[in-house]
Amino acid sequence: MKTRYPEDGAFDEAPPKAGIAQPLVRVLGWASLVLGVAELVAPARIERGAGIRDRRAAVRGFGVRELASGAGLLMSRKPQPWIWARIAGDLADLAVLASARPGGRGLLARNRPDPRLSAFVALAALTAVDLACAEALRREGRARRLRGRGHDWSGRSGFPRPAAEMRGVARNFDVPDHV
Amino acid sequence: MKALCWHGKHDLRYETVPDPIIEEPRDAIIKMTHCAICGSDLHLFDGFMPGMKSGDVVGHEFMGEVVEVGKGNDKLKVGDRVVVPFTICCGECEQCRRGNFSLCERSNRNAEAAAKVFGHPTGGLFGYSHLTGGYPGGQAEYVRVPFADVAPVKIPDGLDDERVLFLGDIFPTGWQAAVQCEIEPDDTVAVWGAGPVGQFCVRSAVLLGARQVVCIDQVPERLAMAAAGGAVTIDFSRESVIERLQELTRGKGPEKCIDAVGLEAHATRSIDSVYDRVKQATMLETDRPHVLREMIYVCRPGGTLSIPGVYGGVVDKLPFGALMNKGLTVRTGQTHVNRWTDGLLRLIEEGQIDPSFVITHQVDLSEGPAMYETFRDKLDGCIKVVMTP
Repeated sequence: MKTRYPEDGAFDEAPPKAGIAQPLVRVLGWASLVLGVAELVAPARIERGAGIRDRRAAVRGFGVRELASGAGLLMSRKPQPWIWARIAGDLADLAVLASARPGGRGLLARNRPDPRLSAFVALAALTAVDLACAEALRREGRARRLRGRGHDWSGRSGFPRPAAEMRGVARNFDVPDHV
Repeated sequence: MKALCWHGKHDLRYETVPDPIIEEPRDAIIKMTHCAICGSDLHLFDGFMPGMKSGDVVGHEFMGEVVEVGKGNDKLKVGDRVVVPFTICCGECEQCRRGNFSLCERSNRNAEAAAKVFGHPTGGLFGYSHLTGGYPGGQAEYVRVPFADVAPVKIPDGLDDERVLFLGDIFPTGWQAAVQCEIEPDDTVAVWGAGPVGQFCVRSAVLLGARQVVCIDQVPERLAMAAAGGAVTIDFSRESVIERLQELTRGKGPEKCIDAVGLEAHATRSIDSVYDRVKQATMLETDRPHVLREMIYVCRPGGTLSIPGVYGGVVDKLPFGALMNKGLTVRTGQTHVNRWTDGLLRLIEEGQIDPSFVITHQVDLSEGPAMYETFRDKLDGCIKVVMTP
């Protein structure tokens, strides 16, 4: 987009390139929706996958939270609060994972790594992505705001003389007869 | 022809639509030379206005050259340069004869629908939903102007488009808001909102002789422009509006208060703003009336509230007790543009004001969708966007 200004090119700079924040917001929004549906519909499988048990109600609650976050991220013009809600949710997930009783692993699985550890690592990675998204939003938002701050319209009075001298100039303004 | 078309919330497209044709003898077709994005267009963009349909051509601030005239139109001829007021009026009905042009009884083609919502129909407007007639708007290469022998203002040679374009809406809107205040020489006039209409409210109040004009906003570039026009400024993100207004008026409050913000007030730090956001999100309230509440609270008893800011539906928790007991006068309405155009054109011709001061961005019409976002988000120092075909 080429933007022109009345002042001779004084602010005629190219707009900043689109950053990664918005694409990341969309990806995380859809991921939240998918995860939310999975947690609501199949909490037992989620429990098994994470290697925990007796947390089915909590998993369903997390599903509702994920759906809310996903909808917020995809529909809101200002996704920052929703990203921070996701980060808070990530921390809650990590706490539940750390405190939950380990699920049964069966004879054949004894030599495999603990699924809780895998889930913990995956969640930690997701939290890092959420934090990166929050930081990108903050950085890009600040850059956009600062870009406007360079403009100085303090010389734009619209009057031919200082405003103080224009006071009352149109006090006898004619109003048409029919009014 | 090319035009900006509304397809839903935050979905505006630059696309090809059929050319307009003369439908009635009094019509004219205008080849648009300049148009602008109005703050009230943002209410359409943000999905707050009912009655929009996918594909509607938007825009109600425009001017151009007459390229075709209906057989019953004796006022205009091909080649005339005209500014077209955003209000469509017949010039003959009872309201038009009283000068209440925005309440024209004949120009709204969907009068029944409007009457269901508002109790009575109001006048037709360009590009502003089917409740106001469903007329295609002016952010297009060509525009059909109904009753074109009444409202369009012929522009004399020697005046640039940029200087006269705003005669079609924001200049008379700011002017009417100030006139409605019946400003006395000792008055303090407080203007909420330093957007384009707020800027014209400030200058109109100065020209009409207010002792002190105060402008309230939080965007530094906008406050700087308001200060240039003669206003004392209040940044509501940094200081208490009520305390500062009391201080500036020796504890008595401003005599005249103007709401140039309307239904999308952005105050976020007050309890009532949070309340409005929640109620709006849950569809229990359509508009966010923070400014109205603040004006009622701070206005001097016996004072006047003038409301050019657009409201569309219902508001909640309005302190009507304070309004009644303080004996405040409320004056509002869409602008009766043609009441003021002759006099304001004269002010421009005399050089008393150059309305182009408010233009911060000029772009091609094709860049309109992106500029709506820039304007809405107040990015890039944006205050007023003007577009050319």
